[in-house]
Amino acid sequence: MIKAIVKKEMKELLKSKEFISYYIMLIIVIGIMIPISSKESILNRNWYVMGFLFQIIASVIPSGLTADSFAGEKERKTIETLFNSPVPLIYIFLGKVIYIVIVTLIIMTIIFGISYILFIIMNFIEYKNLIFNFYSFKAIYFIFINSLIVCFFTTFLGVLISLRSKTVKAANLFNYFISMPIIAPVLGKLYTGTMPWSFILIYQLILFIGIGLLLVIIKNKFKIHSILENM
Amino acid sequence: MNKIVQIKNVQKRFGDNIALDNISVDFNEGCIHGLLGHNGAGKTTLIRIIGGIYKQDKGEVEVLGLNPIHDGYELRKNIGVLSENMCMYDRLSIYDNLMFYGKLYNIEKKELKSRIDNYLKMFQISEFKNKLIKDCSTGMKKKTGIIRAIINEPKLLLLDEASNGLDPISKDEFHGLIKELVKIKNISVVLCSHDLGEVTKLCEHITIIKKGNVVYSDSVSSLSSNKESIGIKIDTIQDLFSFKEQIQKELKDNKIDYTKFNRNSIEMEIPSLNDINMVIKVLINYNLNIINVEHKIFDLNKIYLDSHREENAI
Repeated sequence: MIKAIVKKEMKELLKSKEFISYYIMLIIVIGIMIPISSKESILNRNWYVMGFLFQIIASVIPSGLTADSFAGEKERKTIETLFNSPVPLIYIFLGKVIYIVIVTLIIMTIIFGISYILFIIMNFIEYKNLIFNFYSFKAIYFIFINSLIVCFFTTFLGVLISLRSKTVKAANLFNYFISMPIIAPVLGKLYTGTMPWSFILIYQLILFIGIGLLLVIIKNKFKIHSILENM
Repeated sequence: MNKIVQIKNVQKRFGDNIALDNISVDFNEGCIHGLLGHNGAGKTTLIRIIGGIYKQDKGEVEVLGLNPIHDGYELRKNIGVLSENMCMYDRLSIYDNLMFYGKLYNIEKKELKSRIDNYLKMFQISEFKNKLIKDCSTGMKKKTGIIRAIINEPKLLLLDEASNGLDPISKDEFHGLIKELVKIKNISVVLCSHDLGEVTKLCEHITIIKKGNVVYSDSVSSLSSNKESIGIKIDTIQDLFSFKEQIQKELKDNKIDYTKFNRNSIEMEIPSLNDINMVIKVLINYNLNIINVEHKIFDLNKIYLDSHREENAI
């Protein structure tokens, strides 16, 4: 059932020209333009710029999709059809979360891949040698793992907000207010040029606990009939 | 006949608005039951409570022997719902929509494909299966909606104003398809409509709802054989609402099912004029002073139009 929901959401997304154009633009700006303009930092092994960008990507890419996840179904009148099926609400919720995380991960990987190739090329042009290890283990861990956890948390929260919202517009508004404070501590730390392991691990632990709490809330507090009656 | 849906003293309100007011009605297995009422009568609320996607404030509901709220997921495996408020995914094709909904019922892939192909053939829309829903006509969308509602081969089909928006020819086709489904698949159907013609044409049993109350419930066959039945109106001095439930029960025990209570009068359809004495005796048992008894004519059109007219007058 979760697999069917993920597949359906992906199919719908691929048929949306607006979303595809938006992601292509995002890839060009973050994967090509910003790396070119910040090449000095990267070529000097300063990964904080890319770390900064990936935290923002991890919360921005989901926000557009999360707002539409349930609120969009309410607006398009497909939610009652979905709720009349024998699928528990938690499965529908997880299906939507997983699909958004997969999309974010794909975009992030493409951006990382393109920027990485660009750095190799720029380094070769600048220093006439081929170097592949621009990022330390810490940098790779932070860029991917931390971004993934941030993505999961903001997606969970965003889909929950969408479940409670009557319109996509209202869900979007809440999303913007909520997603920035989540990544603000990390962005602040990156800006100061320090990112100790203890901070990374404590931050991730807090987000994991948050995800667990959100799951418990969804399982126990949200019922199909109360959502539809309040529409 | 087995009861597939049993609704007892169900109440539902939304804020100050009483959608269903102590409603009791049963639907039999294997037939098409019509739920008739004007806009805002409570039909959709009742359908949603039966489907388990609304929860009643008071009363008991049993559908296929299950509680729609506690056993919602189990129940929804065995029912199909089609409503004018239920849309499908515009950006997906007819086939993709049906495959998606079929997978939600955990139908095995090969079996699901076979069912979809058979239904598309039955509804004569096989050649359009790859058309996007947003590019389909209303008639095609309705047909796809019906297939979606029956893809799990439900025991009970709930149709809420499902034929709205169809032209007369498509509506006729739609009715034919419902009748065929009931015949071939032995599905029980509850059809909600505000179209009296549709309900009398399609249904074996009709219940009229007005302002959340059942004002009439009987089989169409007894209606058509007694198009004008014997009705009486009895006026009393005392307030009848205080004894409404008890009087209704006693009259039902004496085979008088249809009664309409006002503050100081009661109207009812009686099998014969000989029953007038029995009715008066029942009312006297409650120490009610009867001041007038008059003969009235009952007719389904009249009942439905009267309930609609009174609502508009308010």
